[in-house]
Amino acid sequence: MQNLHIEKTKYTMEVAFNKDTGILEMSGSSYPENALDFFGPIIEWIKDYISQVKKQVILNLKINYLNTSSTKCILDIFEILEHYHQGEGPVTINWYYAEDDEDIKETGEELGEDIDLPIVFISY
Amino acid sequence: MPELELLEYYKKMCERNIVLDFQGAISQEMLVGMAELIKHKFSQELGRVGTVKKIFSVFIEMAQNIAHYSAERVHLDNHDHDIGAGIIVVTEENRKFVITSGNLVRNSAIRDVTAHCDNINGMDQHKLKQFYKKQIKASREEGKKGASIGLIDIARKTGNPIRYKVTPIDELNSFLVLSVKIQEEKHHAKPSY
Repeated sequence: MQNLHIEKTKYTMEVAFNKDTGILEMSGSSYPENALDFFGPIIEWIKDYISQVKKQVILNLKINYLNTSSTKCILDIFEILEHYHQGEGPVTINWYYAEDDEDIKETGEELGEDIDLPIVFISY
Repeated sequence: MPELELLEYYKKMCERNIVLDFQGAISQEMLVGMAELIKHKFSQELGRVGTVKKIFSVFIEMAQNIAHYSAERVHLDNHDHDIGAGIIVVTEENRKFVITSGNLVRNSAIRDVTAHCDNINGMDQHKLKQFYKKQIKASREEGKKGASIGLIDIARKTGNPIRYKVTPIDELNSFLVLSVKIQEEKHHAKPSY
């Protein structure tokens, strides 16, 4: 499988997933017209990595803004990783948030509330 | 309106403190342009990141509601699918902001929307949070592009009710107006529990 790289736009995040290190990075704002169109290939890549590479996952998220349908897609990713984490793969999520941005911090905290995954909150 | 009477129209918009007014098909390009404008304009005027982000996010959810669900569909040549049309207006008075949207909705669907608003408006922040979590986990309904949680998110972020008005147009459609107030942030409207 290949590394995944998607350039940032004003309304979609930059994506840099590395199959060799297991470091998966997403950063920016997300409010595409159809969230599933954007997140579909990302979710497929993660599923492939989990089934083929079977190594650690470090998901680094540095998000400015998520609309509700993108938030749903991030939750979908968390649920896939939760399942992987309960099985064979170690998973860490680093949730970066701007120091003065309580809103995006709370979004991360809420997404993590019902998910059995280690989420580290890091302000910048 | 006779073409050259634009000054009257301009004056009325100023009197009503309209900072943004758009009518037509809300394509993604148009949405991004307006969202960026809101971000830059209010970032300069308002110090607090929280208030700017609230206006930004409520605007996006309301605009995307029109784009996805408006019964008035418009075909644009450079798009492979129809785009919802309507009107969206942002007003500002004494640092209180109001975002109002209007669009056609099928008469058969209107009760679902107003019942959803009534339901949301009857909930406190704690109940809204539970409702939001339940809805975000529910699987996507057939034919819906969004996660159908936009209005819950708006009520949570603003701490205000979603006001609505329905005007029947014909046997097929009604015109739905939704309006939400956003106060400048002094404390956080979404407390943690």
